[in-house]
Amino acid sequence: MLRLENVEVFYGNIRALKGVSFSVREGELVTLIGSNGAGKSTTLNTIVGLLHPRQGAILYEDEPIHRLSPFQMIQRGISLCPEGRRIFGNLTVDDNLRMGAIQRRDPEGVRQDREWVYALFPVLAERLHQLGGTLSGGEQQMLAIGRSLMSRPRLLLMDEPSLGLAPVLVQTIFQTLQQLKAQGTTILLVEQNAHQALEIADRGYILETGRIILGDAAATLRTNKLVVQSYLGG
Amino acid sequence: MSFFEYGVQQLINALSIGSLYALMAIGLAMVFGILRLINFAHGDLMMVASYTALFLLIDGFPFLGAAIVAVVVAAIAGLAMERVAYRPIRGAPDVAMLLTSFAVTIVLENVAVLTVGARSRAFPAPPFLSTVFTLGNLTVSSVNVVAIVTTAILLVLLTFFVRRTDTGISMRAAAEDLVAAQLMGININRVIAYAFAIGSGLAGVAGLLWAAKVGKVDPFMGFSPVLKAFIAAVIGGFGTIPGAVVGGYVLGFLEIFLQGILPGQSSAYRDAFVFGILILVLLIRPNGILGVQEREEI
Repeated sequence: MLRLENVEVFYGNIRALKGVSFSVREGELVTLIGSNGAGKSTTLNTIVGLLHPRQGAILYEDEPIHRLSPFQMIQRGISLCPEGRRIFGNLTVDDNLRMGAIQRRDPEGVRQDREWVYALFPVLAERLHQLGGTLSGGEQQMLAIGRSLMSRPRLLLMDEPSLGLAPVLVQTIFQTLQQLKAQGTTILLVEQNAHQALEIADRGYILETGRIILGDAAATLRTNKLVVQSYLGG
Repeated sequence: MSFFEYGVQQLINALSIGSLYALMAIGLAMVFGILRLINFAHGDLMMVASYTALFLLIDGFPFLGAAIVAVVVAAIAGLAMERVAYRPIRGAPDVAMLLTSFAVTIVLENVAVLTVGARSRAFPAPPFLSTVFTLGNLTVSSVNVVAIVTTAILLVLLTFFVRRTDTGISMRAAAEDLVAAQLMGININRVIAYAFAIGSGLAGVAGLLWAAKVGKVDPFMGFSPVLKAFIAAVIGGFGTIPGAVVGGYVLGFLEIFLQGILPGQSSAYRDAFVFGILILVLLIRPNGILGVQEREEI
């Protein structure tokens, strides 16, 4: 479904991605694991068109998409739930969801998806008219996920959804991801929390200083010596 | 004249001048909110609208028709300004954008001087904008009443727009987080175009009311109002529409109040007093009256 081929991304003269290649198949939950500064967010931001590669190609359903803008990604069914949540704090919960569906022209479908998001996160339904900025961290993360679902993406990119959340909330978020996968959404999950990411993923890739150093089935990675040592704290 | 009547009279004056500052400040705030651009050329849209109306009136157009055309022309001029001058430098450092806006001002004003001349011209305001009527002991000029009512109606419409429509909510979203707005698939170019068109249209309305109030137009008529509107937007809390409106009225009230209480000779220094007080406001609330501290991420 998604394939990166030798993608190189620069910030000025700094080469942040040094030829990254990997793929995500339809219906999979793939995780991209790496420590701070490895290039995980850069990878996601490049896929979604906020950054453009200097070298290499990104193919989505065999179409090159690495010159397109975020606006066009939404039209193709790719949605990024960004790092740090970035919900609109001055907008109500409901208006945040409305922004997530801004490009859609099927009011009935949008209404249904809204109900679906509120069913997924009942706590949001209780805060419908509250400003996003007044929510707790966990609620904001739920809102961010709900908002990125409102475009009804076929490929959902998640950038560190567990960041700064209490363990019990991380559980909830990861359960939601599994639920979404079961409902047919393809997910690319970027995480530092390798433990839980590999727990729910089908496959995983390890990103280190701008390079993919390892890629395999999640179950295999969980027992890989290098992964255990560097990322699972064993 | 009783003290109460005097108060009412000054209240009308303050609301009227405050309305004009608010109308101007809204456009500055909308554009700044999204682009971090302080558009000093915003004042020249007043001039564009007033001259458009002036020539149409000379050609015998009815006032309302001329006014509508003038406001539309101002909106188009604002869109053109964005397209020609500001879009190419989007994302450039703030200083570069500010300097560009000075350049736009200089070009527009000099084009005006070359085409319509630097001398001021009388603005033929219709009777409903130039009558002075008396209510008991009160003397009220109709333009002040029209300014207050028009602004009130426009503020209601604008509030509906930014709170209830997709485009309006997108505008607030883009002002808060441009990257997140892009990720939603919000069409940033379209939102920016709306901000310029609406802000410029409001500047056009302010320009017409201003011209009717002072009775004349000249190529530099926008300079002082845009400066005042900028200050209004800053003291209200820059980059937000409610802040711009509150700031506009606060500035209007301050000016009229000081004019009323300062003794004869010193009222020439009114602006110095006004700005002195504004500096005090900013010392106490650096982000403006409605401004909030940047939230810390938790």
